[in-house]
Amino acid sequence: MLDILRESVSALLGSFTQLTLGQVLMWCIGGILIYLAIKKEMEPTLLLPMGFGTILVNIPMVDAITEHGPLTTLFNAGIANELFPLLLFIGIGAMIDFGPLLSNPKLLLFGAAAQFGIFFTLVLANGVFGFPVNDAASIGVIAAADGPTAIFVANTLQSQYGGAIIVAAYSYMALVPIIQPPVIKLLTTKKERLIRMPYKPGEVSKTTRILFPIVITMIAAMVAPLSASLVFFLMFGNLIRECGVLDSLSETAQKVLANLVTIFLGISVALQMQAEKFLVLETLMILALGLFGFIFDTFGGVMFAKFLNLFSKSKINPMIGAAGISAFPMSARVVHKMGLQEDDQNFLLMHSIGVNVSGQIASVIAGGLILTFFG
Amino acid sequence: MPKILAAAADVVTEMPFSEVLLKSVLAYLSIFLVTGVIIGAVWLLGKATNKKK
Repeated sequence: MLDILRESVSALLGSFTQLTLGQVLMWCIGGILIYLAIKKEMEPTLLLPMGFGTILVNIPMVDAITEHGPLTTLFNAGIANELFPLLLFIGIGAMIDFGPLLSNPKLLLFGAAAQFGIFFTLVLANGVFGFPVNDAASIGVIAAADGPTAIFVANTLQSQYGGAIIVAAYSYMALVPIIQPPVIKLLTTKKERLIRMPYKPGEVSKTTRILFPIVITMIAAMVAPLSASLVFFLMFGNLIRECGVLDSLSETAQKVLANLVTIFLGISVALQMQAEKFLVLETLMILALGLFGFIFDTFGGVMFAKFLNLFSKSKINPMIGAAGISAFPMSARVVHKMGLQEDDQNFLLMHSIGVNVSGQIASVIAGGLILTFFG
Repeated sequence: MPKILAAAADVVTEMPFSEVLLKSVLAYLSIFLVTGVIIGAVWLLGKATNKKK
């Protein structure tokens, strides 16, 4: 009788005796993520399930994270094999209108320039902070401001800091309206910020819109074969949007698929938020490096625009270069808003949207090139 | 479940810093190269589809 009583008490209180301070701290971090998601509306689609999952995985003896537990099964089904980010890309591709970019394809160069922060951060993470090259490359991709690409690269390169990388990537994406404006103001003069750029919409034929995703996939896959998966899924989503005969699939991809995968992604990524993996000094370093990456992405885009102005007859407002990061459409809106603040007749939105979508393409290509050069 | 990119199953963790620096520069420049090709392709697409009209 006493044995039964002892066993029952042990079963009920076992978790309490094994609880560590680190796990309690992770509960607080999970709570902060939930707060940021609900109260501040910062990337709630991911931060909420991540936050809640963080709390769960830091409760001792839960079966959810055992070898065959549901979180482990979900993680293996979609994160460990990089499937979820790819499926999410179908939804993202279906949401993007490449029209402003297709009517002025030179804007792609700004997207390319704005990936500077990825490589600067990579070099910093490896050369100064001493991260192994696979981790440094994964940390660099935070600066891509592209959550699925960051998850994809971090898992492919088997980074041990996946949790911190994902939290950093999605948190900073949500903080773009706070991070970018002071950097842009520091890098530009008032005169430059006042440059007006009249928008002349070019006609983009339906054939071009349909052929674009096919051609991009072929080019990117030929040049950087390891980017093929990323590019294909993104462009497949765009193709089902633009073809005009798959409206129901396009709508499903944009809403149901994207939401479903985001739910699974958010929950399963939490598996990497266990205290012993997350509460290490490297996490702080990764958060700092991620912020650096975003700042230097903005730097790359703005400075490229200023460089082009040295040779260009029709001046470019250098602020649009900052929209070349992949945080769509937030970065485009930030630049447009800053333009209006300087001059309420200066409408930069269509230019910044074009640059912003080019950033989406460039970040995917950058992810593929990271895998090619450092995989 | 197998990894999608089996080729990346054996990842590189150590690399001389000079190689990291050089590869980073090359990778960054490669983005411009790829986007340059894409710009050319989009321009050609535009020309081809306009010609048909």
